[in-house]
Amino acid sequence: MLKMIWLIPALPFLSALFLGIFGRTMKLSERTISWIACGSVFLSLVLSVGAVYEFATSYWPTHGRPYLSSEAGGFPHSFTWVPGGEARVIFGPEAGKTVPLRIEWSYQLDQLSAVMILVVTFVGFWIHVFSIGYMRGDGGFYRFFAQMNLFMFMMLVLVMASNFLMMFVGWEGVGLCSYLLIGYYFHWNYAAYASKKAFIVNRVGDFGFLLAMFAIFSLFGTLHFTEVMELARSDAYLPSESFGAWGLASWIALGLFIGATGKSAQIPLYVWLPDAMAGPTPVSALIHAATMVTAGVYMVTRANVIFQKSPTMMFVIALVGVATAIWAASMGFTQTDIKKVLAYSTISQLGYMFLACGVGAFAAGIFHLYTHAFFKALMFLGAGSVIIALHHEMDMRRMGGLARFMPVTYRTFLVGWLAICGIPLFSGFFSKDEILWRTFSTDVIPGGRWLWMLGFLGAGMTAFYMTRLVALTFWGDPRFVVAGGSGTTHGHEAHAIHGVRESPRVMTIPLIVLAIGAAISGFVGWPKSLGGTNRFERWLEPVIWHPAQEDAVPAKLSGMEASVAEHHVAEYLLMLASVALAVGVMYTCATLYLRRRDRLEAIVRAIRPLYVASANKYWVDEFYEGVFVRRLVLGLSWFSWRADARGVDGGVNGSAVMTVFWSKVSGWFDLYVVDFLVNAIGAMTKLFSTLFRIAQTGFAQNYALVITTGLFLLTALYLILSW
Amino acid sequence: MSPERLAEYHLLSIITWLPVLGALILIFFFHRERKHAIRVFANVWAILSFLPSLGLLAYDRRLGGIQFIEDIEWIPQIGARYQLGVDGISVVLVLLTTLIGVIAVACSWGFIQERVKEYYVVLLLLQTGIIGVFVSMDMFLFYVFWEVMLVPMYFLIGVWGSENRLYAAIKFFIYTLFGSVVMLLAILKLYFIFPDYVKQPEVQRAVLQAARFISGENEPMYRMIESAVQLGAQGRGTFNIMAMQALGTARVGGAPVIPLTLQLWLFAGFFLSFAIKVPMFPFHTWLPDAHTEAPTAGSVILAGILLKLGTYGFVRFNLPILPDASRDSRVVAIMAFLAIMGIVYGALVAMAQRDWKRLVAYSSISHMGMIMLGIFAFNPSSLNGAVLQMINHGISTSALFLIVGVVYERHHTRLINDYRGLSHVMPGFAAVFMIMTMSSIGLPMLNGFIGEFLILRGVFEENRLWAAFAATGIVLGAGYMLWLYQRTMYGEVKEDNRHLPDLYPREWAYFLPLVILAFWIGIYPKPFLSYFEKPVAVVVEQVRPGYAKGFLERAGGGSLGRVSASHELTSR
Amino acid sequence: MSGDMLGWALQETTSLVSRFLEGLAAPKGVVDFLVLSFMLFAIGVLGVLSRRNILIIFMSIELILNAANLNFVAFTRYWQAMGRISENMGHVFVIFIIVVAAAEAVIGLGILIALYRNRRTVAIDEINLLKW
Repeated sequence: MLKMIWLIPALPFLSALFLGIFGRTMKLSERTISWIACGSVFLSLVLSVGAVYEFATSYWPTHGRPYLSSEAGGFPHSFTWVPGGEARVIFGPEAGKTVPLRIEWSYQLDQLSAVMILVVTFVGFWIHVFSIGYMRGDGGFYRFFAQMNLFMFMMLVLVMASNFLMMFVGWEGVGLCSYLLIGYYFHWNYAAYASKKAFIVNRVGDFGFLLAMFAIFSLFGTLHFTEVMELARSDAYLPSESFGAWGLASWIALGLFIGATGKSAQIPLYVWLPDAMAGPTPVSALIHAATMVTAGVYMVTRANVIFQKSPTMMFVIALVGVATAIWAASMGFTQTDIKKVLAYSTISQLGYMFLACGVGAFAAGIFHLYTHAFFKALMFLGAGSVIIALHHEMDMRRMGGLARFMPVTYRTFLVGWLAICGIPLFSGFFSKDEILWRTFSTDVIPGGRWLWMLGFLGAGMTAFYMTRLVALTFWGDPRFVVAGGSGTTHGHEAHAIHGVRESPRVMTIPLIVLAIGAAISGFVGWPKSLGGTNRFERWLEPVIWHPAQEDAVPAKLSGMEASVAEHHVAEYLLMLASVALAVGVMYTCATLYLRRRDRLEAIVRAIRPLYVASANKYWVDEFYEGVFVRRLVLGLSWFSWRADARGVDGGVNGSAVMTVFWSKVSGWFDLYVVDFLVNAIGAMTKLFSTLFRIAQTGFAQNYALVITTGLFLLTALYLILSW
Repeated sequence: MSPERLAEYHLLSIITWLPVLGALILIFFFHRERKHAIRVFANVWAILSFLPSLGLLAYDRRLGGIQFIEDIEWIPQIGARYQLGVDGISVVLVLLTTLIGVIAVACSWGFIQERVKEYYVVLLLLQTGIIGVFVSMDMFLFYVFWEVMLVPMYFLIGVWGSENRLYAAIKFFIYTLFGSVVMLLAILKLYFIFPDYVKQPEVQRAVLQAARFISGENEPMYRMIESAVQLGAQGRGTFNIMAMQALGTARVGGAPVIPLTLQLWLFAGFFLSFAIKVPMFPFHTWLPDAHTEAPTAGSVILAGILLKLGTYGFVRFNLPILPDASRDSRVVAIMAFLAIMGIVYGALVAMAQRDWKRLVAYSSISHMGMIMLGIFAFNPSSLNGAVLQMINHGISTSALFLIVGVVYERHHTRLINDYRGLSHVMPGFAAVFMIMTMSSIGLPMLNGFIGEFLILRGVFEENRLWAAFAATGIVLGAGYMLWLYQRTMYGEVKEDNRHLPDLYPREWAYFLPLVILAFWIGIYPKPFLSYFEKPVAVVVEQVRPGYAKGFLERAGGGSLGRVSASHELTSR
Repeated sequence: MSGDMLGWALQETTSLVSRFLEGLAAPKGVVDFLVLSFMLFAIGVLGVLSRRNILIIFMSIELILNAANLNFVAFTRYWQAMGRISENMGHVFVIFIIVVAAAEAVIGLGILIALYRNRRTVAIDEINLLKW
């Protein structure tokens, strides 16, 4: 099975190709398209499971290193993708050495990519199934699935890449698919705008990624993960920096993190994600919740050695992460579009993942990525179910009381809600608490306690806005009979209550599956403090570098035991605090929104400025638009255009004007000076001719007379001279 | 079929002169009223001219150097010979030329209705001129062809162009001519100094050694240079380009043969002509006008091929013949500055355009700036990327101009504001446009990415700051291209756009090769890169001795000699 | 006084006449012939220069040529008498000149006839097309 891992991305790709080229011309039915699209993802899932199993049970124990498809027997082996001639290493101990630039296209399977492909294919598959129902009747059915499959291909390339460049291919590729899918409803101006915004903001991030990639090559002479991470561990290549210092490692980490910020929607490049909700909801679920946006976290974890060499950057990452978490959460309080709330929630949760990475708990970050994929996708699909049932209504103010009408959706959504709020035994609890605990207890960067405080606050905010969402959507009295459809593309009259039904099975089954996942997926990360072995973290061990432990003697028992016990107490306390906070906030929120609306109004009035600011997303979009887009880029653009048309081209045209002027001068000179001389000669000739032609009388005898006279004169002359 | 055998069959001459032959046949055997027959003939002949160029694929990549050499006495009094030859870099460029030529002829089918015969004659003449520039090995011949392709282009813009065509045509012609005559000065200077230098025995030895290095195991190439050196030693001049390269690369006692000051002047001479052609900032302003006013085929050839003549010139002349001037820090600083200005400024101005064609024209300037930066970073990675990007740009920008041509043919306006929501009514077109947009902005899996990546990586190695500035180009590029795409393809369909038909089969026919190539180069660029890896390494070694030496030795059939007896080649 | 002058004049005239008559009877030297030739030549030139009628001009030209002939013959005879030459060289030249004169007269008359046909006049001062 391992030998076939190349099929895992290839199958969705082939499906995408087929559907894209032939979907319209062959007029395939929705059924056919669904089977092909979902089938290919399902096969990828099966292959992924098989490959991971084989890796875990037979490959890793015998080889102890990641599996590369370019090895002997693998396929496609030694596929040199980019032969780029020679290159030079410019940093580090090998500076000046010439190395061949040869980028291979080969897939890598190790513990980290194993987690990723399982998540991507599993969640992806169920979202594909859901989409069959969601996109039913849409004219671009084939296009949707073609692009979804293309996305699967790109994402799998991203996570299965064995080198930075291949990862970058997947990185940009998912950006492309995101662009295509956000702009799926392209006749809608807003969607077109949102898709362009997403791509460009991503590109800004890619700029940083690219530069970091170049620096990595210029330091290590290679872009392959295994080699880079191997070399990066040694201080000779990449000196460890102390906190507050800024060196080579920090620069590289900065570039990589900028890329991550763009892709994973952190401050300051998160602005594209809320607008990305213009795409169909399954797209939001798959790309903007479960997979694409997590690519940044994956990349940071993949390159964790480099990051760990720079505590300064780690701190920056943690700070940005937790700041984003709070910032986005605060915006989730006031949004009325259900998808936007979930979008901000995603940004917020991604912030937590980065917080984890920043404090050195990379495994915890990936763990949260894994659980988040389940519950966030679940909630997005649930929202999609609601949206479809209400005929593309997305405004929560026009929802309510749906628990009665859509029981399956409701109950599965509840699972997701409980998970994200961190209620014990649900997956979110384990992952989020792991992060918070590691933040609190970190010794990688200073200020762990303060970061924990902020993270704790954020968790409370999360509980609040999620409960708000559930309350507005599912609880209370129905409000949707009042308004007409406010959907983006359709206009409807009010529909009666009995028109709202539970979604068909093709949509509810994925919800159920994901709900089960959201519920139990946390168990693999059962922490040690609660008696578990935290399988998840141990699984990811080989990928994460632990600098402190490498030097230290593997202290097994005694010394560790005592401190472990101490830590456990603190951990319990923190866990308890989180749960208490969550439950308290959930209860308060539910009460406010359901029973004590008056109190709610009072609170909102009291904090009105804050409310307005949050509802307007703190005017960040306007700021970016006004300053960067309008003033900076477009302003520069217009200025350059003016400068070009008037200045540079003016210079060219000016040279033409000058040339014409000088040619006129020359013409004048030519006419009145040079020509004058020529004409003067002519005039002289004329003068003489007037003189000489007097002799031409036409009278022959005159000529004879002249001849004779001349003859006599000559004779006389001769005679005189010879006298 | 080895290159020598093919040279015996005069493959290069056939490729070069076939279009002109077609033009002559058109002139004498076709009456101007038989428009359809003329069109058919022209298209068939263009394809016929393309087929022999496939023979160039037989270029021996392992051997490298100039192959398919043809050498005939031409004007013995001045030493100008009819010498043709191609190396890996020219091979891909000639193939690009013939392919774009076919496409240009094909896309004029419905577009040109008046003076059809003259149009195709002019197009075919232009083709010959351009191919001739790429294949000449003699500077005199090079210059002749360089000037030859000015006149047909002038007519193409001036007769069959849009409203402001005369201004654009004259501007193009005079601007480019101005550069060319300065280049002529440089050529003549080289011609005159060559015998003076080569007459001295130690210089002659060094030149021959350099020739041996440049040729590697390529005997015919070495003999060509040797005979030119012989001529020079006798005091008679020669115009052979490779001999000039050997002169430039030769080192006597560690010092270059041509003194630095002279090299700088010569560099300036060649620079002016090529910089105007590329075009580099600030010599670029002829391009937007020429592109906007030219008919579609004119723009396609102009953007697809003509611009590459400038960069080709830099790689063929400035770098190898004048390496010390090229490496001079002042020169490099200026070139890098102008190139980066081209990238950033070109992109910014593109964003402000309201005319679709003008926008694409400015994007061209931006891309060419990237190529120039790659050339002047002097390392194999960036130079490989630059040559590859020449091909890529030829493909993607030609396609973009074809795309504009498609809508212009239907709606007769180039203003972006006149279009909206075209994805609805022209989905096939939308797909092609999307692919080419992504190619232009360098999305991985498409051709543009490979070139940009190689260039940027190489530039990064040289100077981090330059790479950072140049990389902003990828963000800006995405900006204006996606904005263009959004404005024209997305949103509600404009009323008068509703009836626009999707791509006809004939249009699919000429888009398909470009799309296929875009994907092919993007996914598996190795065969393309393999053609010019070796020549590029040789050029890099000429400019920067010691860098690519290892590669050349490993690549096999490689350099056996060293540049000069007393120059120590260690890695710097 | 007047009586003396009359007498002197009478005497001069008588001696002039007698000398003339003597000269008439005296043997002729070459100079005499040259004088005659010169007089003929002068008459001819005068005729060419001052006559209006082209035919008369032609005749005057003949006169000039014949004057030259006379010159030739006179000198031949003179040199023969002196013993300096033996052949009749001058006579040969005369024959030449006569032939040429004849030919020239023919052509000239032809031109005259053509001229007359076009211009209806044989007065030379009316044929002045070459006047500026």
